[in-house]
Amino acid sequence: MSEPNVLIERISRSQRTALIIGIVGIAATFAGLAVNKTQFTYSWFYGSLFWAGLSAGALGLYLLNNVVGGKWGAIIRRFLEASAKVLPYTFIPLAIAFFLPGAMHTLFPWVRPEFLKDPAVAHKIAYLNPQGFTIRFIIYLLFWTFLGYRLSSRTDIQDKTKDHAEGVAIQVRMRQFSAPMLLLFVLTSTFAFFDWVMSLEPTWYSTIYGAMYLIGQVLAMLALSIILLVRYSDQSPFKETINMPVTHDLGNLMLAFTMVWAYLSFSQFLITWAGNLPEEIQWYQRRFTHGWGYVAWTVSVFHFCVPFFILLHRFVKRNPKLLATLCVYMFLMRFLDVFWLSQPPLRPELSVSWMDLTALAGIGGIWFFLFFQQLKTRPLLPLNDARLIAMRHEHHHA
Amino acid sequence: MKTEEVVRPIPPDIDPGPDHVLGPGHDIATVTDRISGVIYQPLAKTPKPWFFAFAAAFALLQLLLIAAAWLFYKGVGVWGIVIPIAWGFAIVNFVWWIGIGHAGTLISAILLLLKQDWRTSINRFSEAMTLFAVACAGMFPILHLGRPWLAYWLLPYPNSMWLWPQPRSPLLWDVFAVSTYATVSLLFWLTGLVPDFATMRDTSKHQWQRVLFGMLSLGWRGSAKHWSRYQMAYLILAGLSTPLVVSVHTVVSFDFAISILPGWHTTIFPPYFVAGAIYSGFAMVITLAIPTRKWFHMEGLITMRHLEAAAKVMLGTGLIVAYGYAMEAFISWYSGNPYESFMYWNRMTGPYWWSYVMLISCNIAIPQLLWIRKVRLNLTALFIISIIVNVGMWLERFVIVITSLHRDFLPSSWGMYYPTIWDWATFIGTIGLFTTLMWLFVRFVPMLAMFEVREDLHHMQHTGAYEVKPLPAHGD
Amino acid sequence: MNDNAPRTGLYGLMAEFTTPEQLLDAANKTYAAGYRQMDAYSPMPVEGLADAIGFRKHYVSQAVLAAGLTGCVGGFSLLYWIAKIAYAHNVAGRPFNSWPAFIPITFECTVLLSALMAVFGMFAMNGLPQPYHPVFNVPEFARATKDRFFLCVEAADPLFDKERTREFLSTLTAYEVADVEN
Repeated sequence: MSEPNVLIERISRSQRTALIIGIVGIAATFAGLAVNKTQFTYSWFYGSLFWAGLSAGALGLYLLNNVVGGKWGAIIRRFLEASAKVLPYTFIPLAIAFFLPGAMHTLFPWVRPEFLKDPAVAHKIAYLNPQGFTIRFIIYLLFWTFLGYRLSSRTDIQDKTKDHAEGVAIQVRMRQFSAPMLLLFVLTSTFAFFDWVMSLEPTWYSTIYGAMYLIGQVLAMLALSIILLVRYSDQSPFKETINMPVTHDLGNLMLAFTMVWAYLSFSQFLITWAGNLPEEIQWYQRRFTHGWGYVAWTVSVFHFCVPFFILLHRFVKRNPKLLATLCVYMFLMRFLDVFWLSQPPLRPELSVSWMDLTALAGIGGIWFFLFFQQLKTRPLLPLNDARLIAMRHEHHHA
Repeated sequence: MKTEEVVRPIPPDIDPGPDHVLGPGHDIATVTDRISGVIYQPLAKTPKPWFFAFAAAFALLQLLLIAAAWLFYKGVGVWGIVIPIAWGFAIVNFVWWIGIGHAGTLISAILLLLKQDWRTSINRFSEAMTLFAVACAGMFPILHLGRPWLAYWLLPYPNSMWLWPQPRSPLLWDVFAVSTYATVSLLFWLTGLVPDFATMRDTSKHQWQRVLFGMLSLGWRGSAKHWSRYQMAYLILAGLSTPLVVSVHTVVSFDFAISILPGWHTTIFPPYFVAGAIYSGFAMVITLAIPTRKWFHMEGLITMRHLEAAAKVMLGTGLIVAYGYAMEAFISWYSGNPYESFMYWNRMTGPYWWSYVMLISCNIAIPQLLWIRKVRLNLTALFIISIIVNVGMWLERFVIVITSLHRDFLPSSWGMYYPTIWDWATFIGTIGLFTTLMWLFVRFVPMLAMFEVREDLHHMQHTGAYEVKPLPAHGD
Repeated sequence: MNDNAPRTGLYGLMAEFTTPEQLLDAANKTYAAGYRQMDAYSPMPVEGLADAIGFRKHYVSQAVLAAGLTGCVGGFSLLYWIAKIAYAHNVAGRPFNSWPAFIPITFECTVLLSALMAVFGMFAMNGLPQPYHPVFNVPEFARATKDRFFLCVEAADPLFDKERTREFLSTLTAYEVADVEN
C-alpha cells in the first residue's frame, strides 16, 4: 500500500479553496441583503435548498444501497456518508431562508392573509401553518441527523473489527436497519419537499411530486460521487480497488436514474397537460411562460435527451474520465432543474440575480468544506466491507 | 486417450436453503438431464397432482369458452356494466392480468441487467407466465368491444373511408403498448428457447422429437461466433424490455389518469401502477413455483433462495404501493378540491367500503408479515400470502375502477355495479386458460433455461461459490 | 463462414474437450499457431471464446440502433400525419400536433422495431436457420449442446494440413480429435 497522504493532502487543499469560496460567497450574499431583501430571500432559499437536497439525496442513495446491495455502493460509501453527515448543517442556511424575520412571508403565500380568502388554501391551513411547518422542520432535522450518524457509526465499528465474519454481520444488520428506515426516509423527505417547495404554490398539488423531487436529488449525489471517485482513482486506496465493472455499473446507474427522473417528470407533465384542469395546469403555465419556457426546454433536452444518448454508449461508461465529465455536466444541470422547480412562483418573469450565484457558491463552499472535513476524518474506503475485499481480490488477479 | 466414461448420476433433489441457487452434487450434464428429464418421462409417469391440476384448469377453460360464446351471442348486456359504471370486470381483469405478466419481464430483463444470481432458474418459467397472462389480458378489451370481430379497427391502417384512430387517446396508446409487449415477450421467450431446443434435438431418444426440436432450434450449433451475437442481442432485449415493461403499465395507468375523473386523474398513477404490477406478478410467481417445484421435484433448482428473494421483492413493491395509497389519501385532502375529497371519503366509507377494507388488509397489512424471515422461509405461509396479494391486487383495480365511476359529478348520475354470473364466469374462465397453458408449459417445454443454468453453474464453480466433485477414473 | 469450404471431402478437424477452460486454452493456442478459419462450439456462452478465435466485431448493436431510430421517427411521423394532415380534428380543444400525447406510441414503436431487429437481425447475421451443417456429421458433436466443448479447424484454412493439424490438435488437451466430413 502506498501512503494515502497524497489524497488527504489533496482533499485538504480542496477544503481550503472551498472555505474561501464559501466565506466570500456568503459575505457577498449578505451584502445583498442590504440592497434587496426580497431578492436575497429568493436567492438564499435557492442556494440552501439545493445543498440540503443534495445531502438528503445522499442519505436516500445510501439507504437504498444498504437494502439492495451492490459493489457500487461500497466504493462510494464514504462520499455518501460524508454528505449525509453534512445534512444537519444544511438546516442552518435553510432555517435562515425560512425563519429570518419576514422571510416566510416573502416565500410562502399561505402565511399571507389575502391568500386565505381562497377556500382551497384556507382548507389546508391545518397543515400549512408556521407552527406546523416549524415542528415538521425540526422532526426532519432530528430524524435525518439520527439516520446519518447512526449508519456511519455502524461503519466505524465495521472499520475497527478484526473479524471478517463480524464485518459481514454488521453489513447484514445495516440492511435490516436500513429497510424500514428507507421507507420512513422517503415519507419524511416527501413531506419535506411538500413543505419547502410544493407549498410555494399552495393551490397546486401533485401526488408524484415527492418521488420526482427526491430522485433528482439522488441523481445529483450520484453524479458528485462519480466525479470524486474518478478524481481520486489514481491514488491509494482507490487505485487498488476500483475496476472497470464497477465504473461501468456506476455509469449504468447514472443512466437508470436519469431515465427514472425523466419518467417521473414526464408522467406528471403528460397527466397534467392532458387533464388541463385550471388548478393543476397553472404550475406548467408559470414554468412555460415569461422566459421560463427556455429553461424548461433546456432542462428537458440537456438534462435528459443529451445525457441519455451519451450514456447509452458502452465506451462512455467504460472510460472513467468521460463519465466524470458527463457527471460534472449533469451536476450543473441539477442547478438549473432546481432553479426551474423552485423559482418561477417567486419571480414570474425569468431573471437571474448575482445573488443567486453567490448564494449557491457560498453555501456550496461551506458545504464542501464540511464535506471534505468529514471525508478526511476516516479511511476513504470502508475497511472491512466484504464487497471491497472481493474487489481488491479481483483487482489483484486482473 | 479415450477411456470408459464415468457418468455422474443425477443427484437427489435437495433444497440447499436460502443461501444457494443450486442443490449440491450437480454438473452441467446433470442439470441438463434433470430439466429435460421432465419432458422425456413417459406421460403416464407425470406426477399425479399435475393431472388433477390440469383437469381443473381445463374444466375452467371450458367455462371461459361458454361465457365467451354467450357473450358473442347476446352482447355485452350479459355483463353487469351499466352507466355510469361502463368499465366493469373486463377492465379490472385486464389490468390485473397484464400486471401479473410484468414480473416475468422484470425477472428476465431487469435482474439480468442487475446481475442477480437468483434470476436464472425462474426466468423461463416467469417469461411463460408473462405470455399467458398477456394473452388473458388482451382478451378482455376485445371482449368488451361489443363487436370483437372488428377489433382490427383499433389499428391505424389505410381503409376505404380514410378514417384514422385518435392518437390523443390513451386507449390507442394501449393498443400499441400491449401488442408491442406481447410481441417482445414472445421474442424474448423464443430467443431464450432456441439453444435449449438444440439440446433437446441432440438428447432426445425419439426420432419425431428430434425432428420437431431440430426445426425449432433453427440449426443452432453453439458456435462461439453465434453465442457472441446472441448474447449481445439478448442483452439488448433485456435493455429494451426494462423500459418497455415500465411503459406498458404506465400506459395502462394513463387509461385512467389521462381522464379528469377524481380517483383516476392523479400523477402518482404511473409509478404506483408499475410497482403494483410487479407486486402482483411476483405473488403469482410464488403461487405457481411452490406447487410446480414440489410436483416435479425441482427443489434443487428452484430453491429457497429464489423464493425468499421473490418474497423480498414482493415486500418492497408492496410498500411502494402503500406509498401510492398514502399520497392519494393525503393529496385528496390537501388539494382542497371537494370532488377529490369526496371521492376518497366515499371510497373508504361509501357503499364499497368493504372492498377498500379488504384491499388494505390484503395488500398492505397482511404482507407486512414478510418482514419476518421465518415467514419468508415457510412455504405454506409464503403460498398463502402470495394468494392474498393476488386477491388484494385484483381488489385494487376493482376499487379504482368501480368506486371512482359509481359516483359521477352529478348525484343524478350515481349508480351501483353488480357483477353478473357471466362476469364471474369470464374472469374465472381466464384463470382456467392461464393455468391450462401454464401446466402444459411446465410439462412439455424446458421450464428452466438449461443453457443459462449451465452457464451459472460454471460461473459459480469458477468463483468458488459451487463445488463440482471430480469424477473417479476419468480419462484425459 | 463456410463459403470458402470445399463442398465435398473433409470440412475440417474437430477436437473435443471436457471443460470450457480447456477449450479456451486450445482456442488461444490454435490462433497463436496461425490458424484463422476455425470455430469453437460450446453448450453455453464462454467468456472470451469468440475473442480467442479472432472474432471481435459484430454489428448487432448498430443494427438495433438503426432500427430503433427508424421506429422512433416512423412512429412519431405516423401520428403527426394522422392527427395533423390526414384526419385533422379538434379533440377537446387540443392542438392538432399534440406532441406530448404522441410520445407513448413513439416509444412503443421504437422498442418494437429495435426488438424485432435484435432477434431477427441476430439470427440472420448468424446464418440461421440452417438445418444442415458439416459439424453435425461428427456423432460426438451431439454433446456440444449438453456438456462437451469442441474446436473445429476448417480445411479452408491455408495452414490446414490433415496430418499436421491433427498432430497439433493432439498436443492440446483434447479428449478426442475427429474428422469432419462435408
